[in-house]
Amino acid sequence: MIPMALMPIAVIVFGQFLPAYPLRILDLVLLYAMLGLGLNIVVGYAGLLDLGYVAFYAIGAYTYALLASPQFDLHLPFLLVLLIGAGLAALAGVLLGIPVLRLRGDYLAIVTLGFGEIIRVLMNNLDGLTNGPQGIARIDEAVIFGWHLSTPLDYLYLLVVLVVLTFLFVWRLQESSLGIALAAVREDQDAARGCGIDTTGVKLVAFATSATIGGIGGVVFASMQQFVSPESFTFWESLSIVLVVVVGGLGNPFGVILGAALLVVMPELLRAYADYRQLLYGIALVLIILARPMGLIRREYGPSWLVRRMTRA
Amino acid sequence: MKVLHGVSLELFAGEVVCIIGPNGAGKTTLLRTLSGLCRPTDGRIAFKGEQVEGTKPFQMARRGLGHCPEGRRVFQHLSIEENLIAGFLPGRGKSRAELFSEVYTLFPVLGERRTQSASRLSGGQQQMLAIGRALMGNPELLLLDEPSLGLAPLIIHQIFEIVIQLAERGVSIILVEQNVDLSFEIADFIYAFDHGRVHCSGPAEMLRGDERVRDMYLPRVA
Repeated sequence: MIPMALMPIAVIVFGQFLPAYPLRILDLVLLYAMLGLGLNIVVGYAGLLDLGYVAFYAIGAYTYALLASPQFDLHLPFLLVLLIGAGLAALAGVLLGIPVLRLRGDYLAIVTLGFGEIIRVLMNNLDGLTNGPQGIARIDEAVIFGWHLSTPLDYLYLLVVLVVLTFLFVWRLQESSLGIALAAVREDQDAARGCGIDTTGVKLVAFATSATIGGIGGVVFASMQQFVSPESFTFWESLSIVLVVVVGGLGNPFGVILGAALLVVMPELLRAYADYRQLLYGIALVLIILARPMGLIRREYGPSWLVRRMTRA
Repeated sequence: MKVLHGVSLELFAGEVVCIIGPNGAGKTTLLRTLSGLCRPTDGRIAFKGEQVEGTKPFQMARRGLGHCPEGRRVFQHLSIEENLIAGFLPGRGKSRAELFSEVYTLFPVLGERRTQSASRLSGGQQQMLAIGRALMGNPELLLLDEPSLGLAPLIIHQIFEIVIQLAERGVSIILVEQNVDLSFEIADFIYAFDHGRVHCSGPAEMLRGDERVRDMYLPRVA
């Protein structure tokens, strides 16, 4: 447990020495780590390819944008909106889940992709509500029990806490009987049905849980950027989160965090080669996947493995 | 596609019923229909006196039906213990720990290797795991689909010993088998299937050596 407990502390200490810009990047790494941990429940644990995860992120972000900005002159407290955003995202997860979870594989991927686009197009066109493509600006900064979050360092603290909580949650989930049921669905859905698992039920719970985490991520994102527009929630964004999970290690929370670090930092490092950035990024991804087809850290070397390892030694 | 036609069979508590018949006779389809994995287009299924056709598989499992599928279908990348947890159903009168110890007593090899991944088990051990997984639901009726498939005679013998033990404890069993001799050894009642129909049926001792069973496998040369 000790090395795991040291990691967040190390991140916070490290953050003290960083200037504002790299600190923002570190915030983004943590935000993507959180989203990746959430999506991993569906993609990594249950083995369902969800290409529309950004929809839940968007719902969280717009919930905060609408309830805590001059748009409607509402300024609800951050923690309250965090709950509302998480709840709405969970609801969306269930509503999307009910019709689509009968589908498998490619079909599921296509429908979720469509759902992600629907939400983005809605945000783009509901001018009266969302201000359309111009987005919503001057969103309130988060205030938590009187603590006013304004600098990237403040958000670093918040995000470290959220990533730790999400990490512990998804780890416990993976080890629970629900997690095992999801693994059974991933391995062999028909056999899982045959041995008494309510496959639709557990997939729905997975979808809703994953959506909830995406919604929370969205609320934090909106308060951090103080601006949201449909541009932040394109298909590319969904794909990036899937990449975080796949490159990092399907089903492995450590892998997801490493994947988030790599996929957020790499494009920043490539910024110097502006014209070739996308090309180099693509080549790097292909090379990573070729070298580590199971992800940077394989499924079995997760937190439980580490704990077993440490207690044995 | 319609596979089963006018099939009628019954089973009493604590009985071992064997379904025999050649490939494509509809044996597996029958079991899948009983456990809710296939929906009957028509006809009735009663379990413990209640109509159950159209009931979902997980609801059938909660009512006390365990299905051990053809080809074992264990979760290869999960550990033995996780495979068993996947089959555990709460609220069936026995705790997880009780069922674990029952399964590990029946199949000691599973207990010895509980943290290993199921893919590292031999075929016979995987069959034991598949049966163990079905037993984790504490079933009153156990459906076994060709447990002898691809196994060495010695292992088949071991597994059938366990099946007999289970029946003696009062678990009703419907066993699908291609191996006719084995079926006659352990069954109380036999149904011989062919082309989706009951070709003939009767208590095992009465059907033994019956021409109709033999003809099913060895068509008379005209």
